[in-house]
Amino acid sequence: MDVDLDRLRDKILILGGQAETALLQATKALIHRDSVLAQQVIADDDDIDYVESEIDQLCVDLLRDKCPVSEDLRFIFGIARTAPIIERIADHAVNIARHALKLNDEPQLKPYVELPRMAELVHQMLVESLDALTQRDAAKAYKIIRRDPEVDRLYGRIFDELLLFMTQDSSAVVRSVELLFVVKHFERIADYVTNICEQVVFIVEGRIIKHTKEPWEIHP
Amino acid sequence: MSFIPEQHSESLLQAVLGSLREGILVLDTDTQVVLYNQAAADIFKIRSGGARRLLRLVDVTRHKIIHQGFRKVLDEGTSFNSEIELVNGQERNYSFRATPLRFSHEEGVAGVIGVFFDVTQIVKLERIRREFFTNLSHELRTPLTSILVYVETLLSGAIHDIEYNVEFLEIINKHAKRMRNLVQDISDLSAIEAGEVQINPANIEVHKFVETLTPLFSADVTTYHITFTNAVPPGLCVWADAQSLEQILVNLIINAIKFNQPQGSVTVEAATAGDEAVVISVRDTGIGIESHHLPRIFERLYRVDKSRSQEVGGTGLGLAIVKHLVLANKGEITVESVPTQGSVFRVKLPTRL
Ligand SMILES: Nc1ncnc2c1ncn2[C@@H]1O[C@H](COP(=O)(O)OP(=O)(O)OP(=O)(O)O)[C@@H](O)[C@H]1O
Ligand SMILES: [Mg+2]
Repeated sequence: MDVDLDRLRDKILILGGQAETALLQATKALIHRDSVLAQQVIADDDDIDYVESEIDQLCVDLLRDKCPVSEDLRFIFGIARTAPIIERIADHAVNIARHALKLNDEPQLKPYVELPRMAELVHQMLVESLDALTQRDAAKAYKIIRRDPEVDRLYGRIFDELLLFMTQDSSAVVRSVELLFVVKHFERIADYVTNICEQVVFIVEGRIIKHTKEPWEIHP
Repeated sequence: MSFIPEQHSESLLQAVLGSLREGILVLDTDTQVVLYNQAAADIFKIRSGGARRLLRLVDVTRHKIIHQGFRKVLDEGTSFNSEIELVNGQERNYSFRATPLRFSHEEGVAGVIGVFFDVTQIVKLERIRREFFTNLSHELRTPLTSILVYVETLLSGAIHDIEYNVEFLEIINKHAKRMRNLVQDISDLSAIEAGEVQINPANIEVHKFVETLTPLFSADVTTYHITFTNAVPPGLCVWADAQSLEQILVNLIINAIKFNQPQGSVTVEAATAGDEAVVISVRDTGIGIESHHLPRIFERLYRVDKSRSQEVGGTGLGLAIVKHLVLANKGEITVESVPTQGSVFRVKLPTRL
């Protein structure tokens, strides 16, 4: 059983690593205006989908053949729920890469200031959520969930700024809209990261904190 | 002192591994980490101690290529090489090589050894080299194309057109001069880099020296409507090669004039820095340089804004030459800049002891 669980754990973390890379490269493609890199992120996505279905299969096999109980069962459930979340994060990264391709064809709207900060924060949250999963560290998971409002604040600020651009300069509308999509994707990724953290808490502590606003206030 | 290797094999291994700058990671067939050295711990931020069980590769890294590489070696028994990027605070490049671990010929693969060699610096130099040649051919092609076009126009009849022929020749002349300057700069630069330039230091009084230079850029001062001030206090001396110092200061001053704003000013100042050095500063009220460009402006052919530099006739070799000359004169150069406010280039040179 241990060997199987290790294999499952390896797989989910490797999948996580792929999503990390996709997000990092999509961000780079956007900020350094590198279209070749953007294309690569889009091409690599098939592989991510493949790993996700492998994990799915592995979970089903384990549940059927090994009849796991308590902790192991929780682990398998948690991983089965985490895999599609990671896959969606990678999808959003691919979407960011697609928008980067369009934006790179046009002159830069203005130097990006807050956007790299938001991207960096979201990437860091993803990395730490996967670390929390690796180390089965529920405290770390809670900490990451608490950072989500920071992302929302940045999102709001960038959103307002882009709206202002659009109203001031009609030639900026198309690019501003592209960028609005981009920040929306980052914001969604941060949400998914908090979902990963919820699964970490579930795996470690067995409590379900999904859909609650202040997870640290919940008592088992 | 001598020792018998067999008696110390464990500590010998540890000592050898610890002394390596390459990160070493040894895995068994189940991708459990059986051995790693300090360099690997630093690269992957492995937290040692307190581990209830053996680390697995996923605990060390989630990097896809590393996983694929190790897997391939274990499955196929052949070695694997790749270049990878790791982000760990900052981005670094590594050459990654994985080879199968076999204890004897009969047995199969017992594990895999991964070696991580930091090639960040090499990758950077390679990028600079590649960009240099791309830029160089571009710099040569642009004037050459113009020259050819105007020569062909002249040959196909325009030479008899008294309204345009002289103008065309002037354009050709301008581009040819541009190419000559470029070639001159490049040969200067390679001579300095190769250490072929004679440095004959002498005691130079800076204020007077700057005065003698003014005719070299007075035309630029007028063209760009710039106020130039020599604010060097009389009496300060540096120990440097006069020809180098001329090239250094003229390049910096012309930059300060070219990248200025209308009605801007350029000031040369100097002050002692301790007992053994003098700092000469060239200060302008120009367009400034954004901080992320600062580390690169001393690279050959690097220009912040190609369109503006093109307009003012630069090729991006000036600062590369300046930097090498400063170093050849045992000095240091630094720059400080605020975009839209201006820049200060400071050259620190030794004084005669
Ligand atoms: N005083 C300055 N203010 C603003 N930007 C500067 C200044 N000096 C240099 N730079 C920037 O650094 C770049 C490199 O300078 P450098 O002197 O090497 O090249 P250049 O002046 O463009 O060409 P060259 O000196 O070969 O004719 C310039 O193109 C410019 O963008
Ligand atoms: Mg110059």
